[in-house]
Amino acid sequence: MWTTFPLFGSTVLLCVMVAAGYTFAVSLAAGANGRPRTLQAARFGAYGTVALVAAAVLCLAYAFVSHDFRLRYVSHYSDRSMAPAYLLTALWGGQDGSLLWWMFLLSIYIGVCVKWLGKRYLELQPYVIATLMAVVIFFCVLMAFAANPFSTSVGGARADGEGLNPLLQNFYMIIHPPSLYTGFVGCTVPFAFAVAALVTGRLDHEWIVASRKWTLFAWLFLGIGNALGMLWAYEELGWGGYWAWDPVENAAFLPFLTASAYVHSVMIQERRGLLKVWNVSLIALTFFLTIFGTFLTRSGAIASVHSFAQSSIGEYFVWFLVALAAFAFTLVLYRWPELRNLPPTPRLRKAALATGWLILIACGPGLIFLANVLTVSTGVKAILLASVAGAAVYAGIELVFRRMTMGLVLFSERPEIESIWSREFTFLLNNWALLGFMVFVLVATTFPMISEAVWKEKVTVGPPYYNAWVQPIGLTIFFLMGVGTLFGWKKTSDDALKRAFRIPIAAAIAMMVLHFTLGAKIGYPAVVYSDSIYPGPLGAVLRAFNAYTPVIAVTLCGFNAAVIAQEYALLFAARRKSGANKSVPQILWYAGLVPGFVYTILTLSPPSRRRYGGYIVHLSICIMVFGFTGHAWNIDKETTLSPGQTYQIDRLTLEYVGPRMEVDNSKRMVFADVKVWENATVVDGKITGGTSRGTMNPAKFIYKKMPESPTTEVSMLHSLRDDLYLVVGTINPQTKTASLQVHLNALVGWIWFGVLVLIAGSIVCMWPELQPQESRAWQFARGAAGATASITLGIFLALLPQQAFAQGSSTHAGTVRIENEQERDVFGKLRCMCRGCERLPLTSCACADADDARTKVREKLKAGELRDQIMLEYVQEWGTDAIVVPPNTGAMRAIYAVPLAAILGGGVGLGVLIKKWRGKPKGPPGAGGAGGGAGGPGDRPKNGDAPPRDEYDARLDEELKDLDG
Amino acid sequence: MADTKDEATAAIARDAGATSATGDDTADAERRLARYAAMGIPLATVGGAIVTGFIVGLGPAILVLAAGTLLGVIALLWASLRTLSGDAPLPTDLEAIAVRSRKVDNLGEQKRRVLRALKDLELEHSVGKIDDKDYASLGDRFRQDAKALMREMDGQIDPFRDEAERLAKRHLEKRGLGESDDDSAPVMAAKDSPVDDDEEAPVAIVPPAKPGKPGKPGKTKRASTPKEPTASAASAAGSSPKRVACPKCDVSNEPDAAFCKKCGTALTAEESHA
Repeated sequence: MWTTFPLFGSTVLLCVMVAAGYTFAVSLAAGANGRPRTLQAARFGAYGTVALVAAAVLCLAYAFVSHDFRLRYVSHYSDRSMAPAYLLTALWGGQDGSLLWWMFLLSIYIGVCVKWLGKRYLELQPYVIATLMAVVIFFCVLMAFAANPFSTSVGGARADGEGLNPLLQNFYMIIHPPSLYTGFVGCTVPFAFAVAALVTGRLDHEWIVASRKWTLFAWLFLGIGNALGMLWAYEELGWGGYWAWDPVENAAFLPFLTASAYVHSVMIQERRGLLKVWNVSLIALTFFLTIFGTFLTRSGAIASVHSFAQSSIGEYFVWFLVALAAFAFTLVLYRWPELRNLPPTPRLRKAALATGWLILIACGPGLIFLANVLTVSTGVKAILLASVAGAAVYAGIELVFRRMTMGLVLFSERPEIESIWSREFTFLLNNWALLGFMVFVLVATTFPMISEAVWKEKVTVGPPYYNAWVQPIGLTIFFLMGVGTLFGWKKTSDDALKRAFRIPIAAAIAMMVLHFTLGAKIGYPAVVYSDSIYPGPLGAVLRAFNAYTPVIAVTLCGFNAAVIAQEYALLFAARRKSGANKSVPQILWYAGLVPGFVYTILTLSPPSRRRYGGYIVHLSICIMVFGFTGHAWNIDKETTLSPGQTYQIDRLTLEYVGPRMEVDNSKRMVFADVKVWENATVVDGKITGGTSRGTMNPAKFIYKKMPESPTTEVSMLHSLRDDLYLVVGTINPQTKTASLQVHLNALVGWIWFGVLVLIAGSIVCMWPELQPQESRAWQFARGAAGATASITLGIFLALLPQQAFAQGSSTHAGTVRIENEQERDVFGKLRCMCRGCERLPLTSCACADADDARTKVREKLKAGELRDQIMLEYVQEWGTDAIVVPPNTGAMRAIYAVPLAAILGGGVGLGVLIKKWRGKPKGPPGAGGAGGGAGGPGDRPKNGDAPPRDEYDARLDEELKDLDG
Repeated sequence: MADTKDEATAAIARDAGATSATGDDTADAERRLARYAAMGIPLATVGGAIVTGFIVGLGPAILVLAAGTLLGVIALLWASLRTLSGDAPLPTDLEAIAVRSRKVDNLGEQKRRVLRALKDLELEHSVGKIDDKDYASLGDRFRQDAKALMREMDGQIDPFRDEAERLAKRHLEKRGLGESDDDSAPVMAAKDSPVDDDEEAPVAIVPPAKPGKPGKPGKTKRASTPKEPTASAASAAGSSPKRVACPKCDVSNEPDAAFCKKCGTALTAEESHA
């Protein structure tokens, strides 16, 4: 029986492809003929496809549970000794299964989305379904031809699978790609809405309203996914940090940045009808980056622990990405007239398409070709390429676009903004900074690929590079976040601005003064110098700025917190004045303020609720930045202690009690028991005074199956001030001495607290709107149930595959042994060169190769060699990519020069845009500019007198009252 | 899964139901079968999987689930094909929505934005971000824009309004209810919908614009007779002497109403025109 089960599984996958193809075709037909009947058929087709994907997943699950080792995937990732629960999670353990997992999550989204769409947005629906189906088809093709989880082993069925590495208990060794899948996959739905809007030309606010909750949901889960990733890295990886700027982490961070930019810029479109091109581009870019992230993590394009280097799926991803970009680009160009509020004439469409593609081809393949042909020095080449790009843009716009649109009236109906002292403008600044950040991280993440392709030299970008550069950019965004909040929509008068800035600036100054005066006393000095990443002036400038980062960050935290507190104070004052606060039952205030506060926020009108919910999200970012700042004050030490010895780190005293062994069925556990005292004094080896903080038990687990690679179990003592993070390196069975790594990580707890606030703020933004004829209590019940269910489900989905992913990671279990500060300094600048390593520096990588490298370096240091000499030798042995920061020489400067140029260029573009919007004669404002033709300036009152009220005023008042329900 | 299956089988049920209306016994049986399947497949699948799981083991339980899901797939794709081929009737509410008729309403979009802008101004003013002077000047500008847009929208509706009035009047006259006074003429709403010349065609009735339109003095007399007055029109929708008051609940009904729209009481001829 079941001789053809693998074939059956493959057939189900192919059936998914056929069903998705059928649904895709029917959806397009529904869009074309506009018949509800065809649409209904497409909806059924979508449900059928979703059910088929579920059937495929169930088939694979059965193969795992029944130990069908004919399947290569099953034999590779399971064995007969595995528990059933683990067998099920192993479903998504490897590449092939994880792609099926991607598709399964997507199909859940599709099912919910189609159900939710119901009879809403009938015009958009066909294309939404078609877009979603196209993505399903891509993943089907990928699985059917390149990564089929149902493919059979060449050598036939084995007696037992390779199974699970026993080290899987250390399962957070691999950082978290699947945790982000909920957010990643969620970005497909807003993209589908954007495509539907572009295809149908319905580019008003309809698609934005339709996709709003989906976007927020995806954004929230991208945020939670990133945060959970940090938490896991911190709790389980054992190197004392939470963010290593690994390509996978970066890939998850990029769409989060673009989605954050979108949730801000879309507000301008909703209010002014501006930035339509920008918004659809941002949504398309976000989706592109999610696929690109999956490509990075799955194709092995950039060496990383997460990569599956033997895979051929990279090619499929590249073609899909190219097709995706070309499709979105063409669609935007085709709808250029509508997006720019211009008359949609065929001539204008053709002009936009011709110009866009000309510039794209000239600046894309054209420049790459030229770069390969030219044999001049790098500097000349850069100048030449920039000139060619500039000439192409000029030729495209001046020679093609202007000629093709000659005689057409352009830019006549463009709306403008009233004042640059407005929230609109600060949102533009925020978008500029967020996108700048995104470009920076993107270039650095893909730089190993770029450098290999362009200069035939693979370089690596390690955490020190990011840490040095990201601080100025991140703090700029953080500053803009607070400033933007202080401005109102439309225009903010000078007096109002002065009033608004007074308290936050006072708070910022107070924080700064406090930090300078008290910081050093409590162990958190205002200025902390660290190593420069480059020799020379650039390195010195970065080092100087980053030395002041702690005080700048703390000051800005004070500023931002005051801004948010002030916003809420103003809101409550306004509500008291208008009497709106009476709608909140008094009992809620008496019940401890928080219920009253929550009730007030949740019962605001939807735009206000989203606004004040957004402030809660800002507060969460403020809290997290405070937590990140603690990094500057971390203390990392290494020590070796005999039983009874003590060790002092800051205000804490550690007393090593001795080793202790426990045994269970699968492993031996060797604990190093350490007692911790606070503010104690040690006299003659005896601890006096102080308070006991309990006992910590860092451990080594030695599994019976793999005794040669014991795992490390971290022990932590959490507090709001700092975390004591203990890792045991080795325990000598004879002398019972233990080598310990002691990290005192300042303020880390604030990051996790910030994440909770972030979730709360997002829930406020996504809170369901009060339906007509619905009681408030029911709305609250619905909202609470929805929030709880989605968060629980999302976190469950995010956590589920985690165990499965752990198993490939065993080779990087172990301990980092660092004996002194000099070693830490050198290790921090060199990276582990083992195959498939996630390019961690030697200070963090725990694999055997890293251990060997450390031993060699240690010997050289003992022989008296200097740091630079050791680094030079290491580079000679391994190549340029063996150092964590690319050298600041020649073409390698492109890594920061390109993003900085892009950021500057963006700034100039922003300036030009503002000038254009502001430079027009005072006429009808914003949205009215487009509609101004109706009434015309002739309707305006003369001499500033209020015009007489007519019957339209009454109607207007009524409509305003009803606007937000 | 259960939902999608329900929907599919419900569609089959509807489909079968339509045929049974013709009196076909087999269709009636199919309808019953579909209804049972809608409940049965998900329940049987999950129940079967649980029982199998307890008695035999996890593997067979997954197989039962997979089999149930595949059955659901067949039902769903079958429903899709039948809907596509026209064998299955659509849900009535979906049929009623004409997909193609709704175009992008540029003026409406602009008006919505101006209203949003006015609302934002109010909020910013209330929390003190905009001072009184700016609030007054900006607010006034936006109000003018909103009013200009409303005028333009009304201007676009006018030809349809006249046409609708003419149609309604003819219809009422034909029914013997027509009066020379055009006070009671309902107004046709859909400005995008093509105007059907068929006198018996159902027309969508909405409250008309408020009286006293500038530049159209002749229309200011038009008192409204909305079927369902909305909040914005409520004040304008003064009760016409021709309307029927329900003897039981006092609700005002249309002149030709046979039953009260609220409580369903039959309205006699005497009460009409009372």
